[in-house]
Formats: sequence, structure tokens, C-alpha cells
Amino acid sequence: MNITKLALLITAALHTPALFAGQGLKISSAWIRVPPPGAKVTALYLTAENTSTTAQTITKISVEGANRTEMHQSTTDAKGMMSMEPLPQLKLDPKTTVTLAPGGNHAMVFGALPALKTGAKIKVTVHLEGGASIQTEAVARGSGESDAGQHQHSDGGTATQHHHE
Amino acid sequence: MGRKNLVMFPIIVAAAIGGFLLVNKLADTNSQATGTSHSRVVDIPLTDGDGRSFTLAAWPQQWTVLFFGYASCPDVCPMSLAYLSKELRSLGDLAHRVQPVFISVDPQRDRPEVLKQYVAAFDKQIIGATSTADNLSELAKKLGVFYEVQPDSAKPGTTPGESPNYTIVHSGAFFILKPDGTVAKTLSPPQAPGDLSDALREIFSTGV
Repeated sequence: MNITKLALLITAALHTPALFAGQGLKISSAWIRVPPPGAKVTALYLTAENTSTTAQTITKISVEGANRTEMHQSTTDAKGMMSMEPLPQLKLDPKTTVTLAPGGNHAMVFGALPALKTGAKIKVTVHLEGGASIQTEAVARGSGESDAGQHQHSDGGTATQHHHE
Repeated sequence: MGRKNLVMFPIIVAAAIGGFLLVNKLADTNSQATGTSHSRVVDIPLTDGDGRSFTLAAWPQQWTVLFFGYASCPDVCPMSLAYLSKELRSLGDLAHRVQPVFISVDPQRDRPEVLKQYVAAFDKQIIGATSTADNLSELAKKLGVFYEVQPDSAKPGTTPGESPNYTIVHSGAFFILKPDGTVAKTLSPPQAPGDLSDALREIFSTGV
């Protein structure tokens, strides 16, 4: 038990530089949809809040166990046709919040993630321009879950930024 | 002068009648074509999750709710199927009057047995179906939409469908078909909670 705690503390300490570098960007409400059977892809959503006075740019969101990820934007044209555009980066102006939510911005996750079960937590790293990164955890939601954007699941459904203390 | 008029008159009249008939015929052909594109979509053969062939006329007592998509669609399709499931649940006892069908526009990757498992993750009532590329584009055309395979964005320079990670542009609308297979209503995206179930309730109460 104590050894585990010690290990966690060391891990936290090792991550501290990244925390300082990424300070001012708060990641919350991260969740990933459990891929429906037969789907080799899924999407990850989160909320990124830039609390600082300088612009911050997310360059990549990586997910533990995934083959690769891409940031995408789903768009709807005037005729109701849905398509996806790659998002090379996601810029957050000072004091702004960007939400990655179903039907809009998302991280497309490649790889079936077969072990991913509803309610499980999965490690996510948000990479920032300049090399800093923020680690967080995403909660796996059932394939048929709707958007959590209404914050109805704030108890078990949100993942907060690590190393708050 | 008078004689010339006598000769010309029938020619002008004949030309006018001919022209009228021609315009009329063209208009007729046109209206027929338009009529077809907006009417029955029930004759196009589809394949269900068990590999059985069927058409949208298979349930003459029910209203059909159609959505186009594909299993490798990470965001919009699961979101829309989750929405559909929720709307069906909110219909309660009325849900049995609806047959929801998810039509994959990706027959190359979406085998029927895969589609069956895929839709079951959302709601057991949903039928997962697909067809040949020709049939699918005809069905989409009849509903006034289309779909299009896009090249893999991670591999610039590849042709659509060349990389296994291609994406597909598709309609985000829900189509409500009457029991006779004609379109009752099209719900374009974005759909708010209650939009689909309210539309169905209204249709059930008025029969239109």
C-alpha cells in the first residue's frame, strides 16, 4: 500500500514540469465512447479551458492503447450532409473554453480498444504547442450514450486534470 | 397578300400546335421524373443483418425511420443512433409502430453480421441494413440526398476508398416513411431532444 502511494507520488513529481508548462489550461469532462461491436474507431470528447492570459494550442490528443488519434471537426452543410475535416491544431484564445462534443470537434480514435468497458477509465494526454502536455483520464461511456454536454453526469462522468494538489 | 396569309396560317397553327404538344410532353416527362424521385423507395432491395434480402415494404403496418451512416464513422453515426434510441424510448408504447432502419452506405467494410451487432449496441429494435453501391445511391437519390467516399485525410494523394481508413460524407437526416413507403417527413440535422419523437407522435395522431 505505502509503496504504491510512494510510487504515485514519484509519478506525480515526475509529471510536475509538464504541469507547469501546461498551466492555465484546464481539461475536464473527458469521455470516450465504447466502440460499438464491429467499429474499429471511436471518438473522445473533453472540455479545455484556457484560464491564462496567453493563447494555448492543442496539437494532439493521445489515448492509451489506441493505434493513433486525429483531431477532427464534424460539419453539417446547408443540405444536412455530414462530413469530417481534419483539425491540425486547436487554438484557445486567452480566457476561452473549447468543448469537444458529439457532432462537432472530437478526437477520432483508431483501434478497437477491445478491453474498453463502460465505466472504465483510460489515460489521455493532451499535447500542447511547445512540447508541454497535460494528462487526464477519460471515462468510457456506453456506445448508446448521448452527449454528456449537459453535465448531467458530473459525479462519475467527468475526469479532472491530474495533479491538482 | 391574302393568298399568302391563307398559305401561312395553317403552317403557323400547325407549328404552334406542334410546339405546344412538344412543350407539354417535355413537361409531362419532367413531372413524372420528379414524381418518381419523391415517392416510393420501397422497391429497392436491401440486405439485413442476417444476410436476408428485404425491402422497406416488409412492414406495411409500421412507419419507417431511416438513417444513413457507416460503422467506421466515429462521431456522427453513434451520436445519431444514440439519439434515435433515446427518442424511441421516449415514445414508450408507441415505439412498436415504428421500424427504425440504419442503412450502411459502406457495403465494402460493413458486412451484414457486423451491422447486426453494431446497431444492437444502441437499440434492439433497429435493423442494420446495407445493399449494393448502385442500390444505395438510388435509394439516397430518391430521398434527395447522396453519399460520397472521401480519401483518407492522413494519406494525402490517395484516391477515395484506396486506404482502409476512408471516411464517407452522408446525410445526417432522419427520414420518416409512411407505411406505404412514401416520405412523410425529413428531419434535418441538428435534431434537438424530442424533435423525432414529437414528429412521430404528431404523425400518429393525424395520420399524415
